[in-house]
Parts: sequence; C-alpha cells; structure tokens
Amino acid sequence: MLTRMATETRDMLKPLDPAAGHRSAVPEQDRQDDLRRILAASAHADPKRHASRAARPRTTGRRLAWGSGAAAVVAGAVVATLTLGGSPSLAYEATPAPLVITLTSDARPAGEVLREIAGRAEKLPATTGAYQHLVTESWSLWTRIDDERVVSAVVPARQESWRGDDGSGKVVVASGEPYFPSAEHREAWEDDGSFGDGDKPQAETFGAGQFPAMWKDAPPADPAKLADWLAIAHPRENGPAETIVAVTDLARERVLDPALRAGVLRVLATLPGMTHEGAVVDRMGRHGEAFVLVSDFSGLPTHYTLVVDPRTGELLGYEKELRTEAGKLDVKLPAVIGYDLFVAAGRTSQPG
Amino acid sequence: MTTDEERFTVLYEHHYADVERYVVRRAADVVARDVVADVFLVIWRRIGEVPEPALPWIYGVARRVLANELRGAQRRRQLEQKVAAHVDDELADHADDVASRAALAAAFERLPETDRETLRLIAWEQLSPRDAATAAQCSFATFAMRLHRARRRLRREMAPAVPPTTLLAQPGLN
Repeated sequence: MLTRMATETRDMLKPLDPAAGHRSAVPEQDRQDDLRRILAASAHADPKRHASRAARPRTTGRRLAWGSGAAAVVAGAVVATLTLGGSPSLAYEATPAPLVITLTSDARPAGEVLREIAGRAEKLPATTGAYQHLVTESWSLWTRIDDERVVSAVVPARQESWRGDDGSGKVVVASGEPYFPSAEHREAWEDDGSFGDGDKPQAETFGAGQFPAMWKDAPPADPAKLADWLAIAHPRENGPAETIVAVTDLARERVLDPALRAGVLRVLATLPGMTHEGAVVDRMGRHGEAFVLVSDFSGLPTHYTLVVDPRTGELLGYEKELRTEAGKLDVKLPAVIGYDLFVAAGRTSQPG
Repeated sequence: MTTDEERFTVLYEHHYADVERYVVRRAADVVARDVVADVFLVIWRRIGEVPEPALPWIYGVARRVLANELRGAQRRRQLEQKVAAHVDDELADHADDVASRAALAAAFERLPETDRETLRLIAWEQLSPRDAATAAQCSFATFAMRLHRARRRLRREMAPAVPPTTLLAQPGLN
C-alpha cells in the first residue's frame, strides 16, 4: 500500500522536479577546494580559519547579504559558519553590547502585562495611506558582507521598504556604521582592508503582487486565527520561540496596525515560558519593556527578547542573546548574537 | 581500517550532487556551493554519528542547514517561478500537458510546507518511505500518515472549484 502510494506520487510529481536534468554548477576544482577547506578547517581550530578566509578574494564594492533567513539561527548553521569565517588575531568575535534591563519588581506574569498593553494598543487610531513604510536595522552573527562573515566588527544592515496595497513596492538595503567592541577589533578590521570602500544602498522595485513577503495575504487580528496564521513556515514543533521568530518576521514585512498589534501581543501573551524582565532603553534610546523567552531550539540556550513600547504596544526591538553557553562560538558571554531594531513602521501615501 | 577522513571523502564524492540537487530544489536563489559546503561541514563535524545508509541522514542535515534560507519568502517566490518556468520550458509543445502540469504545480505550491516536503522526498529525492522518514526526522508511522494526507490534500487542491451556485443549492447551507 505504502509502496504503491510512493510510486504513484513519483509518477505524478516527477515532471515538476526543478532539478530534473540538473548539472552541477560547481566546477570540479571548486568542489575539491571546498573539500580541502572543510577537512582542514575542522581538524584544527584557529589557524585554518585564516586559510579559508584567504582563499576567498574580496571584492572592493561591499555588498551586504541579509534577510530573515540570514538572521535565523539553526543548529547546523551555528557549526557551519563557525569555521568558514574568522580572524585568527582576535580573542573573540565582535558582538554588540547587551541591552541593560532594569529588572522589574512587578511580579505579574508576562501574559497579563502583554494583554494590558494590547488593551491600550487596540484603542489607538490607525494611520492611513496606501503604502506601508518600514525601516529596520538588523545585525546577526551570521551577517555576511561580500559573501563572507565579518568577525572584527558589528556591521548592521538597514532596510527601508514601501509596500503598496497591491503588493508592489520598493526595498532599499544599506549597511550601517561598523561598531568595534575594542581597539583590537578595529585594528583587525583595518588590517583586513575592510574599511573605506564605497557602500552604495541597493534598491529594488517590485511590480504589483511581487513585493517579497513571507505572507502575501493580510493577517487576521483575532489571536486564535493569528496564531495559526503565524505558524505558516514557522513549525510549531520548534516550540514557543518559533512564534517570536514569526512575529518578528511579520514586523519586518508589514506595519502592525493597532488591531493587528493587539492581536500579536495577545498571541505572545499565550507563550509558555515568556517572562516580563523589566524596563529597557533600546539601541535608539527608546524606552520599552523587555519580554524574554529562553529556548535552545537553535542549538544553544538563547534568550529571545522582545522590546515593546508599553504605551502603544509597538514592537521596538528583538534581540537574541547567549548568556550561559557559547558552544563553540568565539564570543564573550553574555553575547548578543543578533538584533533587529524596528526603527519606523507606519502608513504613507507616497512610495519612497 | 577506514579513517574518518577517508569515509568523509567518500561520502563527499558520492553525495555532493545529491545534496546540491536537494538545495536547488528547495532554494533556487541561494549560492548552492556555499550551502552544500555548510552541509558537508556539519557532516564532517559529526562523522562519528553518520549511519548507513548515509544519504537520508545527510538530507536531514541539509534540511536543518537550509531551514533559515527557506524562511525568506522571496526565495520561495523565486522557486515557484522556477517551477512554473520549468513547466513552460519543458512542455511547451504539448498544450494539454502544459495546462494540466501547470495546474499540478499550482496545486503543489498551495499545499502546506510539510506536505510539500513529504512529497518532494518521495518524488524528487526518490527515497523509500522509511528513508524519507529519516530525512524528515520523524517516525516511520508519522511519515506514512503525512504521505497519505499530503496525497489526499494534493488531489483535493487539483479538484475543480465548486461553483458558488452549486454550494448555495446544497441543503443545509442556507
């Protein structure tokens, strides 16, 4: 029965195989180079990193590759990116300073606090305009520039987008100012020739229905329906932290109008393990409340922090931090391994 | 006795193309070489854990490494376009086939990701249900159930839509 099912499935779907007749795009020499690099890089720790780095020529124009995919952490990627980048001269990789959270004396459960904020958010008037305008500033330990990880500096990516109601739009991506945790990091960055080259924003426009969005349709504001909707491409089996990933993916591609914002906060309020840690001033100097969930679904125990404006319910920021274990990562604990700043989110009548 | 390095090199040579195709099928716009290198780096790190047969387990590693890439909708969109383009290119001489296979491609894309992955592992990676369960990192029983349901949902997606008037005429709906 099962064998028959498998055979029928193959007969039916084989013609759709995108790799049918696919010939490898990787020349044999490159394949062998990768094999050598993998064997060498993993057999010993640091010295090989430099070799792997030297093997890849740098281009002069800096191009920053990022996105929700680049920012996501999976266990495999943790190991993989570890040895393909790196600088032997540094004691540890550059990471941003952790947020300073003033621990709250409010002993109420996070869910209660979030629902209270949701109640305030849903009473606010919605802004109007045919375009959703978003500005996000992000960094992750896996951010790549010129297809290579940068370990000597924190270089955030700034994305600004305008998304029309017809699914058209524009996205502009630029890299921000590098941040160095120490003079040693700055020197390594300069020694590597990683300064001074031109960095032009990359702009892309999209026709109707083409705006790159994870969810093309509008989300339901009802919390139960919204929870199901958020689970699209965000498997529930990964645990409650996956819902946080989904919410931040949503905030990167859509303005959360007051009703939707309230719905999102009420979904977050249901997450088991979420705690209200206290007040925080974010990387832009804005005041918010920090809600934290600890999960090891990405491979290491990670603190996922959402910073929420308590007056409006707006999502201000999202941080991923290692506090107890760094695994094999060359970072100094506590280490922020990724952050997003939701700089602006509102509707406008004019596209950029 | 075979050393870890020898065993890994054999796995690399034998399965490089399999992993590359796995990546190309699921993420059209990634740099396949980099992702494949990442996959094999994980395998090298865990060479002591690699079972025999190795390929289903390797696909399981590839799945995790690729998981972050697949989150991006832009990539999914490009893959959909690639599937659509593939249908057009390959079957342009057979108008009926084009229409039916385009409908099949559209129905396939409407399925939930779990269903699509279940069907891909069987139809494209050509795994047996037992090996596919290993690649999907679930039990055999779970995979069998997923396959059954995925096929049922695919059929349902391909069924012609029922006109609204028919719906209204059905007893109990008003």
